[in-house]
Amino acid sequence: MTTTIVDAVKAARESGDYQSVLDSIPYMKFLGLVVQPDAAGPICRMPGSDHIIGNPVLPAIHGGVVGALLESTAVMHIMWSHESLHVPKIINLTVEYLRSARVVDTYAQAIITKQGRRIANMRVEAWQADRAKPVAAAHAHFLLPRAED
Amino acid sequence: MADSSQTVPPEWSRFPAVSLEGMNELEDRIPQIRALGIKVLSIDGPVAVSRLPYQEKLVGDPETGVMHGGVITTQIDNLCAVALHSRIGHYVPCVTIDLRVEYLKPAAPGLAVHVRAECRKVTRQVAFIAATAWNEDEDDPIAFASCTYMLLPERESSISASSD
Repeated sequence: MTTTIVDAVKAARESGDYQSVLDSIPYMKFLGLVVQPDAAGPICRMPGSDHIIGNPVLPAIHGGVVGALLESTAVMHIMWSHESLHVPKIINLTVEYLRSARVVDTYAQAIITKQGRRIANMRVEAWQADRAKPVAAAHAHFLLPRAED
Repeated sequence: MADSSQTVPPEWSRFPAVSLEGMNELEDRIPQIRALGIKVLSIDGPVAVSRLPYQEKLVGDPETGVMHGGVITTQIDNLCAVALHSRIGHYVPCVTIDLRVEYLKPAAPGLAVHVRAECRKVTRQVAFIAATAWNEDEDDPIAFASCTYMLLPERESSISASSD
């Protein structure tokens, strides 16, 4: 008996705990993401770890991994917001790198800036110790499934 | 069209010179690149090509087995720096300031991802790179990207002399 991501999302909507949804997505687990509930939508935390380093001299987290955290947070937000029981397909992503990301806990939270029937426009921000000093921000478009089943 | 005729500031030659062997040695010292198993296949002037093998641990949608978009974002961001360094011929320190990726279609489950990046323009402070990703047929791309890097020639080289 296998638990599908659809079952995991349905269970999370009952319990409010989206970690099992995240853990069913191998790459999000690979990054070590932890989801924290928040009234405005899930906050994803990425612990600092050796394997996410992109610049071993500074050291700093790889820019692509910061992009992956932003995309993952947007995906979790869409599933949390009852827009999809499945992982939504990404259409495009633009990441602005604002500060070098040190190898410490990095947080991200998304908002849906416009929600259509087929497309969700998202804005996502990532920060470290101080939320007022984001390390990166992204805007992205996702394709939503036609119907929820 | 690449601006390969354009010369770069002569003082940048104080940074270690680029070679394919040195490039892959350097890549292997980046923990995230090693973790993803990315290899640079070729560098030629402003153009670089890399390959990322398909891996279950990198899947972003367990229902389809498609790798997470963030994996391709990382491969593209990394290769854009490689193309920039290859274009200049020296490892000038640089950081990504902007990256846009268009996901034309999902990466095919089970297949490696290839990326070609081309440095289109280098100025003293900024470089512009374009990239394309595909699985088996470059004429059937899965992603387009454009990337902007800031150059930091005033910084110390982050490359040790051993990389030659």
